[in-house]
Amino acid sequence: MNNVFNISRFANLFKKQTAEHYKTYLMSIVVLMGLILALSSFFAVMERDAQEMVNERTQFGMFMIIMMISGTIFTSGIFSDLGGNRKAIAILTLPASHFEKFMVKWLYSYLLFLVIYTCIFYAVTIPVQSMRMNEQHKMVLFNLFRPDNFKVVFISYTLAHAITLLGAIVFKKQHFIKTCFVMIGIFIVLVTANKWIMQSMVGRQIEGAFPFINFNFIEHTQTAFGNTSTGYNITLHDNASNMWAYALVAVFTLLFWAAAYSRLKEKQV
Amino acid sequence: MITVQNLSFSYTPKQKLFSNLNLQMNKGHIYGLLGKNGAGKSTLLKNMIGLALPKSGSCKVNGTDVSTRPVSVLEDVYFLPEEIYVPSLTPGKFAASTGSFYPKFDKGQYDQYLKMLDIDPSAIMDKMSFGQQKKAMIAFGLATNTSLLIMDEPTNGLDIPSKTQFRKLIASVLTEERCIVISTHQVRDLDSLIDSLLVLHNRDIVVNCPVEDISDRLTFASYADTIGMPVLYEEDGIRGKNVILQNTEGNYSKTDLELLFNAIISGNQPIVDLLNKSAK
Repeated sequence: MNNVFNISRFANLFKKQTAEHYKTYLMSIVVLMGLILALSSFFAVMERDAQEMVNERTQFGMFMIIMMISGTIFTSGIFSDLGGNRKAIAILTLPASHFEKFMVKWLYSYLLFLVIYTCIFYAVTIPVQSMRMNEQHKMVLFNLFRPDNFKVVFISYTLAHAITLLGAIVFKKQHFIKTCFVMIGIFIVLVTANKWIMQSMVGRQIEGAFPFINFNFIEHTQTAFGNTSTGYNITLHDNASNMWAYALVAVFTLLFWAAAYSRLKEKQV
Repeated sequence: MITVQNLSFSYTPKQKLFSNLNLQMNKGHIYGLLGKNGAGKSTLLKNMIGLALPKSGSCKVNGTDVSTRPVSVLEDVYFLPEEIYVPSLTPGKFAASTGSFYPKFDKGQYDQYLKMLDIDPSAIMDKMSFGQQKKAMIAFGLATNTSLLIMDEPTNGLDIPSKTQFRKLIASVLTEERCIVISTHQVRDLDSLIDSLLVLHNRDIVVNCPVEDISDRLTFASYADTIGMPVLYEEDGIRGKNVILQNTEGNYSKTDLELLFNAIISGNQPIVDLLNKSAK
């Protein structure tokens, strides 16, 4: 039998994961529905005098924030079983390949989470939106599948998932907090180092620089009317910037997923 | 079945737990792995199944290196750790979700073992007592019918009738194609169960020999007084002195594993030498 991937073994592993965790998943779904309902209702009441119940922008913001928080918390815990020896032994000695074990966790925390979360969001938002608080109210629904929205959701969650999945397997406990802490630390170091590198590259004082995106500086000139200061922002043009951002997200995502898989293979008890 | 070659392992760079350890275990035997607390019994077992990775050397099961935990090895090995995990399922549902990973898993046998060990098949496993959980997992492990069955302190948490039932079960499942390794520090639990003795001491396997060879080479007896006797090792007992002597006349005596174990870990080199000579 194949030591890397076997479809029937993968199906068995998926069934096992579901059988052993479905109660927790169902409870999480109910909590998520309650949270979306509470927030939707709050915004509906706040905007009871407006033309729209909860406008598209607010819905999108709500979708993104709840998705990012719940998705990263869920992903952070997906490998938590490996943090304790008893469960880790049961997982690591189960006759399935590391790839299959990784893929089941990946499938649950990435694809299934996105699909189920989207269904829950619309399942709660549609009824809330259809409750008209006044006669002027029009029902609006933010369209996830509009290319602009989809890109933002897809890219943000993909990168966040990859980072938290790695954190989930690297840390034994408090995966979410520790991952956030390390990421903030890395971000601060990266931004500071990037500014320093950019300054030495362009040979002048830089006001601000965001890694791989832009940098800006102020030029002081002396004229007949006194000193003037002009701010410059150097950035790639939109298309190139987008392409660059996609490429970076893709590379980092694949690197983080690969690193998480590699950690699983090397896991010891 | 299991070949450990030049195994070196350490949790910290400064303190080596094993250094160039070699060990061979074959099918058709029940091995008892004895050692003091902290000797590294559990770590050695974990190395044998790929849960701990050697710094150098290798552990092979049927010629395959276990350090990458290949499926072909995992589906023919069952490891029962000292601290077990059971999911929130009944034994029946657990078998349905996990049994399919083991090609030779037999549901009929599993039900039979559960009955023998007095486990309610409709009870939720994580609500059972520790002893009940352990028995349910022992039943599952036996029903997987893997060629290699490794158990770390399996009798911990079992009551006296369950220990007796456990010994009977283990003895009944041994076949020519199966190798069973049981690690314990409760030496008496292995009495009349194991057929080969392994003693882990001072970071090495100091004894690896069949139990019948032990009684061929050594005599275990109790004497009121041992003055003038060629005693290899002695301990004060209720009826005088429990002693180990060299068996020079070919008489049979029941092996006192606890006494032998104490002799070995107290550093009794003549006994170790006699046993190792017999193993060769």
